[in-house]
Amino acid sequence: MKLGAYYYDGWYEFRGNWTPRLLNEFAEREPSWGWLGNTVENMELQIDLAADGGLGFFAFDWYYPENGGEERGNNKCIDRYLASKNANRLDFCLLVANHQGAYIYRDKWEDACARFMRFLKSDHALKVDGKPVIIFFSTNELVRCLGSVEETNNCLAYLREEAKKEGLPGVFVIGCAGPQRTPDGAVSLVKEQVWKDWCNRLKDIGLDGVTGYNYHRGAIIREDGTKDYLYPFEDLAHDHEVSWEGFINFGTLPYMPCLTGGWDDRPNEKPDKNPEKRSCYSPDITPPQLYHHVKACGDFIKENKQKITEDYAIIYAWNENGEGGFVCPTIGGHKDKLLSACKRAVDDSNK
Amino acid sequence: MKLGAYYWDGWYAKNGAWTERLLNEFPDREPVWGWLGNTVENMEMQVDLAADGGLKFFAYDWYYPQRGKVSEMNDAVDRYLNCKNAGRMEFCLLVANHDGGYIYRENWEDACRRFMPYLTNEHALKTSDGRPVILFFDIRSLHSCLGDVAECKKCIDYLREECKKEGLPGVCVVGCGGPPRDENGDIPLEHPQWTEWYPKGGFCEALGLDALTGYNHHRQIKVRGGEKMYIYPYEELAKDHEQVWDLISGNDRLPYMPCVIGGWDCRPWENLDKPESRSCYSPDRTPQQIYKHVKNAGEWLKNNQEKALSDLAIVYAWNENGEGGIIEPTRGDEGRFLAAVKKACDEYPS
Repeated sequence: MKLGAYYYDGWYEFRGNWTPRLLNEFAEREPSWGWLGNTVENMELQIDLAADGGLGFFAFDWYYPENGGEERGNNKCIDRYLASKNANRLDFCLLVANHQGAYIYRDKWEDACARFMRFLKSDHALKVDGKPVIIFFSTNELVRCLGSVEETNNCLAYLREEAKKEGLPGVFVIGCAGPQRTPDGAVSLVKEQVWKDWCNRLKDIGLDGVTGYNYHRGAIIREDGTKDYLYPFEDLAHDHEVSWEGFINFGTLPYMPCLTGGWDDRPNEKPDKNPEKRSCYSPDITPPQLYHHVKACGDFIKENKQKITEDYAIIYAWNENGEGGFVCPTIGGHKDKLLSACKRAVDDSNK
Repeated sequence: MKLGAYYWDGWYAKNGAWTERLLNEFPDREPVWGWLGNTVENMEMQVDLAADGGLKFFAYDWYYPQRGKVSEMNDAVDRYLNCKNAGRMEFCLLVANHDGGYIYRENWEDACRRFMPYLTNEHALKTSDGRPVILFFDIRSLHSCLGDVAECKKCIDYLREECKKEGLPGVCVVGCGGPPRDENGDIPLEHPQWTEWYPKGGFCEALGLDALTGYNHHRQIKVRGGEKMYIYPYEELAKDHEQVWDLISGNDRLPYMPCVIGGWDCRPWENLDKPESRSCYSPDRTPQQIYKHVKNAGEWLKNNQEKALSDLAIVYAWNENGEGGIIEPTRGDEGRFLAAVKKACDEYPS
């Protein structure tokens, strides 16, 4: 198993990500190197920590400048990575965060492709069948912004052709897609036809592979309509594992299993002001639970070799410290124990 | 508000308290000074941390000898009394009269003799009328081990008299009472225990108790629609406690010392193969929530002076690191929970 992790660089300068709740209530989530991480030296440290922790690549969250102008500061982490002396210790790819604020509309597609190209051509690019990988955060938004399924096919074909002009064998385009859920919010395999239709659609739009960013749950909706939010990590991990089954059983595209390193978005929530923005949170994660989840993925990959993108899997996340998905070492809480659990599981899976 | 904390000294030597789960899954619960804390110097540091953290007393879990063997967990209180800085806090005993610490009738006088050095100590926690305080963990076993209501009353009166012989004005015997629970694990608002146990002239007073508190009121299980649930928001756990403050106390009831919950998450001591050993756990507590809860205790005392035992409140716990009631600084929180306690205490000076 080659395990990667999403890298979200909201931490390059002090801004809105550092909510008062994050700093006051969840101070233990501060990375071991401090909240700020915006130098090449710091990236070199993170690369060493990640590589020593069993990770094989980073998928850097990358934002298209929807409104023109300079790219967000968030994107600069990739250049810091590429400038690192030890960049070769990890591969990398882009996770194109094509959500609100960073949509890529049809008239911008060629410009976006031009921006992707230097990353796709990098020596360190993560590859499937020799093709560099690129991941899109939202397949639905990809299609919506490009106009249609047909146009999405055309646009992805254009990207592949541009890559070929640069001497690459093409591009391996992976879309993030979520699982089917029951009305109470749990992931379920019951509606087979819905799963099949969903997976067929992913194929129809021209993707080469499927994964997820994370499969967190909105709410636990009880029979009487009331909602609960506190959700055992074991159940959250189980939701992910059921999702792997769904995409493998009902889909035809290669799948890169999406693992969860946690979800607890309370630092970004304001229950009194925006109760509708709440989501289930899982503060009970422990290193052994994460070990079992990663190890389960290693076993799953072995059992489903033919349907997996190489032997890749991806965990949410290295440093989504605000949303609660982080395996990077922190000053408190589990400190470096989640990362060492990943390492042990990857090593055990690769024995 | 004069807030104290229960002190459980399971950490005097490496023993069964350090389960594999605790060490492997919950290493963040290790105290900032390390897992072992069995020297006077270490206790001096803890006293300073606690006093600086707004705590005014420790209630040391104390065990009556079983088959002649004195529990080493009792040494904590003696280490405290040897501290140079013991004067920074007061103390009392929480007599852990549960399994492994029962006090039967024939041992009562001996138990009282053992209590006496603590009750007469200059640092003993006292009520506003000068009586040293002693807590009993389990009202039911106090009753059942001493025989019956009349015998229990006689025994507690004996303790009172013994205290007077030592020049004290008496003693304040506080029993830990809990709420009844229904089959879903909920706290029923209507239950005979509320009307028969806690009022003046009720069961607790008949036993000879002077006042009431609790050790903690964690929830064993939550059942909804036949489904058993264990994960339980800290906010609800705290609300349960606040509800109990009102339900146990009241007009014509025994004085009450609010029992504040610092957390409950007993997973380190639970055996996954024995689901019956499980209890609801609240892994989501934050310093802000603790701050609000302690503040609510301060507010309760302010608004219920006639129902309260002096201005005392007690938090579970300083160091129940296995059960998840922890406000001492740990490697995982580095003192943030204690700082939250202090902040709330400072708003309600004693």
